[in-house]
Amino acid sequence: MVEWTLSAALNRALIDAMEEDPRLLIYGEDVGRLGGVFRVTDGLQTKFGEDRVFDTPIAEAGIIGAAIGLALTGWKSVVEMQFDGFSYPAFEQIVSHVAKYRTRTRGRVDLPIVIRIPSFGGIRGKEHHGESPETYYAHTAGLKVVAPSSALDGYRLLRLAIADPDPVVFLEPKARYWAKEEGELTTDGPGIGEGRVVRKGDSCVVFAYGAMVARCLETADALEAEGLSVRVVDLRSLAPLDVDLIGLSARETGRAVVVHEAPKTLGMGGEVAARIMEEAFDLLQAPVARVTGWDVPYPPAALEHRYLPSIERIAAAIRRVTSY
Amino acid sequence: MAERVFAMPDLGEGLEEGEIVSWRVAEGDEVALNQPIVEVETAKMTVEIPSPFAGVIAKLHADAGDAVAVGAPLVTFSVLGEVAGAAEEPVESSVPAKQATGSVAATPAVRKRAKDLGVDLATVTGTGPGGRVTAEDVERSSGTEADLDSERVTVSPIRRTIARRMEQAASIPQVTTFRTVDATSLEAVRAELEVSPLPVFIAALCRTIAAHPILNAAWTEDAIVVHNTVHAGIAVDTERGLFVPVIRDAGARGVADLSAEIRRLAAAARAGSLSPDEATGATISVSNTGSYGSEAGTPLLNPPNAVTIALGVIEPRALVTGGGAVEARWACTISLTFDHRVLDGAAAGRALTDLVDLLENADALRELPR
Amino acid sequence: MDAPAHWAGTEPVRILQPDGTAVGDPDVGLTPEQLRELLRHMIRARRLDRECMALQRQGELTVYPPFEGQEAAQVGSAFALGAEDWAFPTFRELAAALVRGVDPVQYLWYHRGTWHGGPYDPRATRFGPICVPVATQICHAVGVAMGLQKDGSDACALAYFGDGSASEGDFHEGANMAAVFRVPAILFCQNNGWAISVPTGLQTAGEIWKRAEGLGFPGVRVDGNDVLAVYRVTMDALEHARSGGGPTLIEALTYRMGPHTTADDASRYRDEHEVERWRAFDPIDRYRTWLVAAGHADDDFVRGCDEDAAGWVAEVRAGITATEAPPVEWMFDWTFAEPPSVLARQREEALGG
Repeated sequence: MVEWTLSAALNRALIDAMEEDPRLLIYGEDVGRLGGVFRVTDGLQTKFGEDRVFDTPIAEAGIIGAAIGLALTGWKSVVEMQFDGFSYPAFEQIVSHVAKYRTRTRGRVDLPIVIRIPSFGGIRGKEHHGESPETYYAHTAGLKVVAPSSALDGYRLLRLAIADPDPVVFLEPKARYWAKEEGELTTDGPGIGEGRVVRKGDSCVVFAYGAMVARCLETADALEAEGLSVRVVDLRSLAPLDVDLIGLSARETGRAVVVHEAPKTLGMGGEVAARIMEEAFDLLQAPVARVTGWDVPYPPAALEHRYLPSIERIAAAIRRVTSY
Repeated sequence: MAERVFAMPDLGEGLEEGEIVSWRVAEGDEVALNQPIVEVETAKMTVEIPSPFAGVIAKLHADAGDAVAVGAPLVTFSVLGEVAGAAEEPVESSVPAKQATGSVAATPAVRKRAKDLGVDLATVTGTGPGGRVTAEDVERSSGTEADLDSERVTVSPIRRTIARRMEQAASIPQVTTFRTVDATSLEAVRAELEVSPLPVFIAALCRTIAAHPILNAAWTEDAIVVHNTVHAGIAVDTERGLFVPVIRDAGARGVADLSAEIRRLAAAARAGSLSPDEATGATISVSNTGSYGSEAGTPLLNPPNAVTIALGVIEPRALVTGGGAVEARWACTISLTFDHRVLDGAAAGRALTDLVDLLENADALRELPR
Repeated sequence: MDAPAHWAGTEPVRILQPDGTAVGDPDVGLTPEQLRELLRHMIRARRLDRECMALQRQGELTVYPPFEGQEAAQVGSAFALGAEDWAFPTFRELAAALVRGVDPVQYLWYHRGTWHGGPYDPRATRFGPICVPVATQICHAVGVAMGLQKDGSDACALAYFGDGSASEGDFHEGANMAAVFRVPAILFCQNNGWAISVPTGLQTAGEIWKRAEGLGFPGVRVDGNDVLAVYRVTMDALEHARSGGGPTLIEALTYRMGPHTTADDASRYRDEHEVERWRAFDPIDRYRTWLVAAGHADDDFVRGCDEDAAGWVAEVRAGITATEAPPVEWMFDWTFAEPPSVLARQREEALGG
């Protein structure tokens, strides 16, 4: 059985995709010669050449804008925004153009662009290196947004994102780049728009994505000792959201918790809670609990552990909803 | 000539109205396309509006100094060679007002349960945190006052299904007719054959059906369906509820075979291992109510069967025999319920008479296939 | 002679004086037929531009940004592009769109509020959708140029933008990337003196064409109201790009004779008398004068152009006024290649299902 880190699995996905499609390009800052600050593009320039894998100047808007122009001439792009906080200079190109181009041209121009963004916190990083920008993008009609939680699913989601004719914002949990998972890399399995149950249980359901999935699994395992059987759902696709799975899980358990790093207000938790209300109202036994970052700018390394949802906070929420 | 009404246009990004500064034309004037017709002042600027049509000014809808709202008529033109078209009304959809819910604290699941049970939450005392109404509170409240003292037994899906079928059965017009049988012959023959009375009874029943096929029938909207083969359902009581497994082609089986099959089906029913073939498809239903001591009863029909026949307990009774004397003899009562849409009393009575005659005739019973 | 303030500084490349006399070589490689075509394009463009102003005042267009005065800058450059070349407009390039063969009624859907971007197919017309976030289209053009380069194509991508756009980050990012990757891109700035109410003098302290040198590629300043000079300078840039020389920055000096849009009252920030003075630099007057004097056209031809333009514009008017609101489904049908189920449900709800 092969063991993969998330970084290696993503690297493999890029290799496989590049081999499959000669019109795929990979570019961004430091992705070529260096192989990316997290080594996700390691070795790709040597393997596929500078024409297809290349470094760009520091010009996020320019990079995304160029991706649009390249798409118009039949080139597919996997571009990297070096960190979550540095995707913002490209925000206008993403929101005003990438998201709207297909609609604007009445379907004649599709933009098969994947915007890879090392995201979220948990690495005791500097300011702007621990952002959770997912709701800005998930709220923008015309974009797909996915966030893998583990290596094998990271491979799957990246391959799917690259194959998707629509633009996909691909948020990679940088805190999990070196986490290992055993198994075969495959694209079989849940697609974009689908969540997956990563732990069975019926006392309650916990929805999470990105780095928080591992933390929720850890919490659920610990709570077995208290007789709680916690189901954990990896949302993995934030736009489109798997509303059916959310509804089903909420109906079957009647008790739900949502966990995310992003600040509470107007985070994905609100959307999930609203969907639960719409899909499972009559079967709710407790209010939906949200365990999230605080409504403050992301803190410095010294306080990061007091900001991110901890096992204690997640467990407390689970206990609350199961004893309501 | 057709009339065209030119409304005050939105001259710039959400303006609401314009004020007429001065008209450049008068009613009756002939104007060319794009000829300036009016000067209008808006919140942002003063603008000259060119004529949208070539034609004659039929009416000016405002005077200099008047404010005209965007969308309100400004000028009516008589336009040569045009047919006026109808404007489409936008369809407004209205969202029905939501009912206000009460101010009783209860989770959504509890509210629905209360609604399903017809319980008014306002009448329920909540025993949950903060006076919240719990599921137990609602369940308790759904009974009468006297029942506050009772225990609630959860209804299993099987029992729910049985209940549904009983409700269905009860809606069919059915009548039960009774006949007392001198069971001396029946008792003797069954003892000889080393079986219980039921398989002998079923064999006799099949012989009777051969002469009275209407017992083995079913009512449908188009026709009464008379089955050629007897698939006898036998009621089996299990822990989980009443099952009616089916003895397929009972008429082709001997008494010993029937006996074995009844035992086998009863065991399977109790074990929950009946196959679909065994669980459904009866053409007539048989109930051995005597096995729990019942003398007679009014068994319900088992739709779609037109007949349920019950064999009561065989025990000594005081019978009046041929000589007019009262004797203690083995006796039992047969209760036959029939679908009155399929049979009438006379037909049921005739069939029952034949069955009883057979059951009281030891020689005839001995001739039944073994 | 007095000239607009933003024309001060480096003398631009010029072939025709404002009065129509040639100071440069008017042989720019065009046939007489093509030279007449240039005039016809400019006359049609202006006629349509003025009709669009009227249409807006009649409520047939929502907001319209006129380009009167800029006909030569757009027609001259667009005319130089080959069939395989691409152009990316802002929102004021109707004249360029016409030369590139974009259907005017389709283009005007944008200004009628019928559909964003106009429904024409950018891939088929090689003309980008109307772009309002200024300068962002520069990066798109650069991306196209990168793609063309990777395919070993001869074709080029031209980005139109204004003096205001040149202040945006995307101008710099696009220009820098174009230079670094040495792509066949032409960055064509129509410096028309105004960004809504802000004159060029407050937009930048330098001359826009000079920025190219700082980024490592050639820039040129041209009289944007001189259609022959614009044509020639664009041709030079195209040849430079096609031979692998990389991008060129062209600053075409022109003047925005009308307001920013029909929602703008220009009298609040500039003197309309001053505007009238710049009629002396009108691109159509000077070119027509030269064309007739050089014997390539006569008065009949000019009259013919006017009549042709009138008839053509009437057809466009009829097309626009007949354009109805699109079906509601359109809002949903192209958000994604395949609508996700959540969106499909919303579509049903919106359609009253």
